[in-house]
Amino acid sequence: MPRLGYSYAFLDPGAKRELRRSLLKAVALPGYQVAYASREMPIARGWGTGALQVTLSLVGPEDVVKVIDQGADDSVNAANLRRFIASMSGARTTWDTLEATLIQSRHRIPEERLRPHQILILQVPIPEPLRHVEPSEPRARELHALADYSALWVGLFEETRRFRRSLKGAAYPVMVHGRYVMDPSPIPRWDVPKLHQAPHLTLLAAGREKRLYAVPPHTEVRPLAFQDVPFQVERVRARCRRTGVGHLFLNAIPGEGGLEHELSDTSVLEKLRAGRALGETYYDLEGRFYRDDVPV
Amino acid sequence: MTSPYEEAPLLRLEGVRQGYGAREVLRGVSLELYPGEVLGVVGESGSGKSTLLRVLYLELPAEGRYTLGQPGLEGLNLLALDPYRRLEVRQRHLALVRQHAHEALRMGFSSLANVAEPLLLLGERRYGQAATRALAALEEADFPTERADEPPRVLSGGLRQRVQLARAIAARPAVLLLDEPTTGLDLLVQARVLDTLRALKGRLGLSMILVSHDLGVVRALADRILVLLEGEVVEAGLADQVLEDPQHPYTQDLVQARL
Repeated sequence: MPRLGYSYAFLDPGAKRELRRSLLKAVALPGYQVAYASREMPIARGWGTGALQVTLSLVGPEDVVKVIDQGADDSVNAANLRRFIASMSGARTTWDTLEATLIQSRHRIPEERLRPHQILILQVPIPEPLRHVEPSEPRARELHALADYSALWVGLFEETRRFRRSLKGAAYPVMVHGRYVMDPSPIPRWDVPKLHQAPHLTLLAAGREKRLYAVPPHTEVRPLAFQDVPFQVERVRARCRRTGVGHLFLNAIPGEGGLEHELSDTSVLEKLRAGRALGETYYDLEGRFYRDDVPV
Repeated sequence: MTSPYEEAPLLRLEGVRQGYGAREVLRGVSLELYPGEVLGVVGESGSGKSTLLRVLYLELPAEGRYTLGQPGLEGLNLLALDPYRRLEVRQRHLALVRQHAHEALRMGFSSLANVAEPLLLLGERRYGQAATRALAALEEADFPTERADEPPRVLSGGLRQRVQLARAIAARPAVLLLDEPTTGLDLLVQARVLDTLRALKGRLGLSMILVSHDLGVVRALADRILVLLEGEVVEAGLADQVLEDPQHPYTQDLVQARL
């Protein structure tokens, strides 16, 4: 049961309506940053208020909600958000990626392949991919309008010249639907290919910056990369200390004997430890991506 | 202006007007640029030279007609295009060397990356090709290529102008616009930059419009000269003719002031 004394799912109907309209606009213009009136929430700005508002504007009592923070369902932040969403909406919560209908995530896309009926909502700290090369916000908007992304290409050229590759570990810029360059939020490079032609809807929201954007299902999402220096995901020659898995994204953790590794996706970790079957994953046991039109 | 050449003009401005608020800076300027020639535009400060160049670079909106004899642009008035198309035409067909390098270059990036930028803008997505072509452009602009990885902020004024030049010619524009390219440089460096420009004109057959208040610089490069006074063209003709036998009192003053 949702908590009494509040609007259903915390937000007032006007706020929900505005958010949904902004989301529809974002879906109609893949990768385009839509301005919206980000409301005050009972958590501090910068702690996922944007994604939380999106989740609350979409959630219904039949939904199953999963919240993860850097892949973990059991972090303090994820647990707080999950409990808040559940108490305000009456929706059921889960750790299981396959069971969830709404997945709010900070900086990770789950390892099990998402399905068409699921919605992924990513928390975004800096929505503007041009921020580091064009500090003026009005000018950055103009550059988006003109599709002038030369500054990003020059930056990539410079990095390639100096280091023979891009040094960007997270928030790797992507071209969406051949039109807008988008910051996919600080997901690792490992997760970037998962957005390309994905069957599910991805919504991204920055509460502090009052911007949201979207990648509709089956949309082309290409990381910016030179043809002769292709985009590559992170490859770590290590295995999870708890499951022995080596083909999925691992967190490096300082251990007694030096650096140790552990599966970042706790849903997968718990399933493997409980001996439960995994759903289809984006990467197979040999580290191959499920689509062959995406360089990894 | 009657044509001194048999070819059709590469660039044509007709009756261009531009103003800042109530003040009109360009008052019906018309000019033509022919393939492979250098057109010098002279005039005192405030005569509208830089504004004219910015209109030619499609950076400023203006009234009038501006056509470029390039495939796909025949008969099209560039001043009537929407901003997106204007940018496209600018990127593909025009290049501007500014007086102050810091206004044109990314001072924190390497010189090579600066020169590669127009190539990347035009869709070059092979790193190797972009790097090779940018290095070749730096060489053409007489830039010491062993310093290609240094950012312009650590370079001298003369070398910065060479980086600008290399950047301007890298994508082989139809028209190269030069806004006081040697102002602020010492005489020796000025002479070297002018030599490079002359060599480029000869080697690449570039068509250029050179704006300068320095008649010496214009005399060294221009085939024809156009004199601007308070936003109006008061005299135009072959360089030698204008400099040796100026007709308009203002041009006579300019030539005498130099002497």
